[in-house]
Amino acid sequence: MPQLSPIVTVLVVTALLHFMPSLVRPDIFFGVTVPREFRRTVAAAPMIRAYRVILWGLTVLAVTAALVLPHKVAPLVPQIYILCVLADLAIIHRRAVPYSVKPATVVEVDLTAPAERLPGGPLVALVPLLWLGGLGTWSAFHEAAPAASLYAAAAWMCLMLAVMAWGVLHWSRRVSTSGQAAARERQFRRRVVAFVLACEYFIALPPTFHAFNVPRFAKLAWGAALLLVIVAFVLSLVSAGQGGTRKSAAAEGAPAGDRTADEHWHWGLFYFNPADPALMVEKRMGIGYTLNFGNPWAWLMLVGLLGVSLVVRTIAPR
Amino acid sequence: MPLRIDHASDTPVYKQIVDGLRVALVNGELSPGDALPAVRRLALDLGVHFNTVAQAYRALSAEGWLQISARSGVQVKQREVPTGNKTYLDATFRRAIEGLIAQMLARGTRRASLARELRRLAGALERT
Repeated sequence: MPQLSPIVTVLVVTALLHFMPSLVRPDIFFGVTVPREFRRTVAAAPMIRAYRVILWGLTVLAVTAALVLPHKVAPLVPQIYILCVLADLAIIHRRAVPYSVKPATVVEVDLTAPAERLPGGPLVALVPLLWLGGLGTWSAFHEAAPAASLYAAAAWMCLMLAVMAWGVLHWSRRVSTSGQAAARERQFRRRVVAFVLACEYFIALPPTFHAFNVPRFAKLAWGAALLLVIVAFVLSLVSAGQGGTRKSAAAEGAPAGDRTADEHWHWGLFYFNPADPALMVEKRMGIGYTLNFGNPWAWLMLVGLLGVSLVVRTIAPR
Repeated sequence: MPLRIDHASDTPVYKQIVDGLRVALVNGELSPGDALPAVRRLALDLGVHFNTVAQAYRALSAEGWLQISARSGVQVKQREVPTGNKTYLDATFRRAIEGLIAQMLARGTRRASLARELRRLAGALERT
């Protein structure tokens, strides 16, 4: 009996990536700044076609591999598949580079734009942390074998997510700063932050289950709710994201580009600009935000996020 | 209230911020009590170093336009119009305008269009 989860993962990622070219800003094509109407030209069509052919070819290969490979190796298939897809994106990015245009050098900022705050205030971001702290202290005194490492890892992950939510609001670059486009962008940023904060609450639950020995159906309900929340947020972010409702708002004669220069984007995926004070910028491929790897704080954040996931994998009770 | 800067301009960004804000302050687009974006926020949105914005805010604070405090951030303040030496001011102003005109002529701007632009600005100044 083949393992289903690698196959489902590959198919879900493919479904999202198939539509990726139309989910990003109209003036960004495979990570390259282009004229707004470029996507409809004869030069763009073969590139989109080539990208999709390679993507689906990789999907067929990955699904076949997941079916025929032994159970021990099959879980590695999605990781290898994603690396190959990144290579696909990088190849098409290189093909798009000759069509790049210089982004506008004139930058406009609305001095009276409303200040942005965490939805519900800082307490909403801190509640899971406080809860886990209290739970850890309680378990130290009441459990025969307290899983302190589990509580600490969950608390650390919540802290990193809280920092990320704060970073999206306060350390990221605004692309549009006036008019309807700015209002839509604020709404999009608010949804991203709400999603990150929701994740914090979901992360705080498994240690709670562990501490209170909750029945199995509660864990299943948690899994189902998590899946629903992720799907709902992905759909919501697609509609409010770079290629969603913001597309029409941004078309009001705004200059091409996302306020970052093409030369600082490596393969259209990684942003590296030490001269840019922004810690986060909007992704050029995909929806949401990415780190400015030219900023030392970004590396610290990455180490924090990757480190904790490794720790969780190592110490989590099976 | 938009603030516009051009990264390709010969004028330093710090000066563009000062000039842009001063125009808004003089024209009353920013009134006493209005809060301006924090140094970090404005620097992020303009894509410039924090020090560039901080320097611009300090320059306007020294001119008496802004109040900078750690607690309430940057706010526009009520400013008394300074009573300076009128002859000195006139001479300085004229020299600056003549310098700008010479700069524009050197760049190939036609005299007629420059004169038209000066007349338009003078008209706007008289109306306010």
